[in-house]
Amino acid sequence: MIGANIYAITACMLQLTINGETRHLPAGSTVADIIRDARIDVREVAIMVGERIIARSAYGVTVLHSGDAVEMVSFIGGG
Amino acid sequence: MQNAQDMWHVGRHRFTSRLLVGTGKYADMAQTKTATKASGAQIVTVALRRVNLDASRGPSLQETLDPKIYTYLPNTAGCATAKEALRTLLLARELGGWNLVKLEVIGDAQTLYPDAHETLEATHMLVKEGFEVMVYTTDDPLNARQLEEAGAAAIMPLASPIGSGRGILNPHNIRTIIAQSRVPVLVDAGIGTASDACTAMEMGCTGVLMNSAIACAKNPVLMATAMKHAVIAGREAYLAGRMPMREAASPSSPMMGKIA
Repeated sequence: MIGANIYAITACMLQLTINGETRHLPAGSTVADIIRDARIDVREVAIMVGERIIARSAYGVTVLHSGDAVEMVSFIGGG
Repeated sequence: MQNAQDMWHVGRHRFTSRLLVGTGKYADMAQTKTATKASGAQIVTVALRRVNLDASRGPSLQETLDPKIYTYLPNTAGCATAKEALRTLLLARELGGWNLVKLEVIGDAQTLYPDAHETLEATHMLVKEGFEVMVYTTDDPLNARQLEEAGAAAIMPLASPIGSGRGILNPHNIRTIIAQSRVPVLVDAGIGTASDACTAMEMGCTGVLMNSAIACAKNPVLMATAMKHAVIAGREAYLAGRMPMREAASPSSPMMGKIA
């Protein structure tokens, strides 16, 4: 049934924000996954989830949850 | 040529070049790279911002200015509170381990003047976290002394407001700060042209930090070269010890033996 399928799909998806933008990701997604999806070099990015700064060594094991507010930042030119 | 013997120290670091440059306001990364190289700077300030997730991105700053060649000085541009500044620099440290940082906490969007209270509070917090803090401040000697007492690794008074290019508006205050400080004093903000940088160095500044003066010049690469020379000239003039100013004239050619 369609209703059951929609329920199954939404149960497998997260809704969170990355840099203020709403994103839907598969359940179990990690910080490493979103860095890879953004096609950015892992050495050029720093990540916060809520108020926590995530250590680079923990990117692969930090699982994201619905409602998380992720900040993905890098260096740019500035004075 | 920069004198390898005339190195300066900030925190645990030593540098030869006394010109520090920002990396903003350039036309593109190619110009950023060429101008920065022309300046001879070893320290470059950088800002921390959200990654653009959707647009295709050109070369990154780290691809353009190799962090193994340049010392990145993460700044807290855009932060209005001590807490925001700390969070930004903790993120920057996670990015690359940088401990030498530039603190700026701006209190007014029109003048871009530092918020003295938040800047002092942030300095205390950052020093406690083990950062070596180069602090952007006003040219108020009392503020400068308080920041040094809070553990700032360097005091960076403005010459005039950020991006205004008006040069050193209060040389007396800059001299007072230099005379009272035991940590490096670098003029930061308001430098407009080469003579401003030279003047700051002639006064006895340890160095000069600038961004708009180079990036907003008609020919940024040529201005970067000019600034490199200006900082060296001012430093050498300071070390040479200028002639005294006199009330009366004093001829350069001897009067004895002149033709009758």
